[in-house]
Amino acid sequence: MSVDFDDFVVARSSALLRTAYLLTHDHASAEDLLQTALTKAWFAWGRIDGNPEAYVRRILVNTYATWWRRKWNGELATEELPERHDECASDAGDAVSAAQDLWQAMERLPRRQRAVVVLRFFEDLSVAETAEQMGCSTGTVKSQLSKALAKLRIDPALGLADPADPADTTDPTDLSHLEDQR
Amino acid sequence: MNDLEQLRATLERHADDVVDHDPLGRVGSVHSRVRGVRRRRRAAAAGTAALTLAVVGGVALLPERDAGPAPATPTVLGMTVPSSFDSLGYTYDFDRSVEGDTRASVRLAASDEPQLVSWGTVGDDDTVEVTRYGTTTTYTAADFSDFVLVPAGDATTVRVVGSSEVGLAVFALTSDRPEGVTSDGITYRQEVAGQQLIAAGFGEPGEAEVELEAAAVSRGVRFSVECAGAPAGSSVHLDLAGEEGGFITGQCDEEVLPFDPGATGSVGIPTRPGEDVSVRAWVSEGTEDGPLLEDDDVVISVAVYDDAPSGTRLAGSDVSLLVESGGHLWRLTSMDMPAPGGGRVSVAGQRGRQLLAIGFTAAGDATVVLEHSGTGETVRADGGDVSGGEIGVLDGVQDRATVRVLGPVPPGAEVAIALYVRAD
Repeated sequence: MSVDFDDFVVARSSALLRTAYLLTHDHASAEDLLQTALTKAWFAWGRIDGNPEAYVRRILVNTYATWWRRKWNGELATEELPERHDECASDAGDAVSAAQDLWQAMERLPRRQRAVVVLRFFEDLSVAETAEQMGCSTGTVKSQLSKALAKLRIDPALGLADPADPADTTDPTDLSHLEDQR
Repeated sequence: MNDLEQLRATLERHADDVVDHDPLGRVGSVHSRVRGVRRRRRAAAAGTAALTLAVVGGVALLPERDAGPAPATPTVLGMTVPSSFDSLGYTYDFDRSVEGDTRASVRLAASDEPQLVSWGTVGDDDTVEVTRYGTTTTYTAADFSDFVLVPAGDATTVRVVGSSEVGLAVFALTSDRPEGVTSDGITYRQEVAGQQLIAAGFGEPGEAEVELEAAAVSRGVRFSVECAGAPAGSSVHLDLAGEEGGFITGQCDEEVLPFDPGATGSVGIPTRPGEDVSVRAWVSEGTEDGPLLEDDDVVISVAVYDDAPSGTRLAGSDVSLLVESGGHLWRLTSMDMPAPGGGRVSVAGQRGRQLLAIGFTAAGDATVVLEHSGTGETVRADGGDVSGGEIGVLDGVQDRATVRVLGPVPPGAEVAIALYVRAD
């Protein structure tokens, strides 16, 4: 690992900030999330083997997925509802009409589902790469992706086929892997 | 039905909206966070308090804390000093003091307990300057009637400067604990900034799971969960019952439970009075659906506080009627905002009473700064739909708090300042 940490932050943190914003949907939270991830990366910088950007993005995504804002005494609370138990709900209340903005619809996604959507369709990662970034199995990625797309009123089969991954033999019409992650 | 191209286009469009104002400044911010993490780790490792006092410019070190008992009625510079202070329900006893000719300082090493430092002068100074963390604040009180709080885990030098002889007095936390639920010296206070504790529980060391049964008393609750002593990579989870039930997950990466956990680390949900808000907190191995952690050192605690919104709003945020800051309780007294479309609000302090200024902003992608004229401290928020933060204490008419949008004011942008007075 020869990349200087400070040089990396100056050169690449803007790109990571965009990812953080797509995850958080809030500029201040995105900056906070990015700095939190960079701080964690700093302590491991000398041990990073390979692409530091992928490493930091992995920290960023997993920090987001397992993160809630810590509230200082007296500071404004950011009203943040927890994820609902019923993650795979596809009832009318969760469904998004085609006329609604997808951006607003994404705000209703649980964090892991939102993260999978951002990695898969903004970062253009394969299912396997998304799983590596999320630190989970490809089956979990597919499951989370299907649930997310269903809530966004996008045919889940469209998002499961992974032409970039020749190892992916998923039958887009076979949704038997959509086990409840809870 | 939407399609993937619409989704990709939406993501691209919103990503393009992100304007990174200051990647170079981010380097400094991250290094500052790194220093903070190191400091907390050192404090956790240190375990017990260490304290050194030194007179600025002098060579003599005052006795260590256990060199002798403090006098029953302490005096500094011939002035009577309170034998103890009460701060948010905690009691701090006079520990030791230092005097100097126009200036004195005390170096406080990182401790696992907070400490208070008070100051006084024998002269007729209208104000004295008190410096900590390198930031100087001017105070009108100069008779050991006020204090600054040095939080647990922080190391700093507190310095006082006046026009004549000055003194500092250090107060150490006693074993008395506020009303609430206490375990092994850690307390969930019965009342935090006016919010009442509904239920709290601590697991025994090695117990990675705590369950609480609780019912909401108003239109909201907040949950505070803390976890420590787990192996790296462990996660703490909070499963919530009730209509807004669900779960949240966080990292369990602290070495010790924080002091005063009810004041930090929480997530809130709206409720109806009487609604079941039972909660289960547990620690797992790893982050992805890991099994319940088995570790002799892990400790976990969870609490439920009433957290009804005040209904008073500024710039899109609910404004708390009571807040805690610097070891004091403060009550909302007024709010200031510019005329619609204005991007700047500024308020001055008042003679004879301290004010705490908190800024509120809702300015879309614009950059907003929160400034304190006395300390010179500036908080810069690069974008942020709804946010806010403490500007600082205004102690006298010389202090001014300002919130302003840099550059063009976006349509619908709001900035405001809420002022609080001491309520303790």
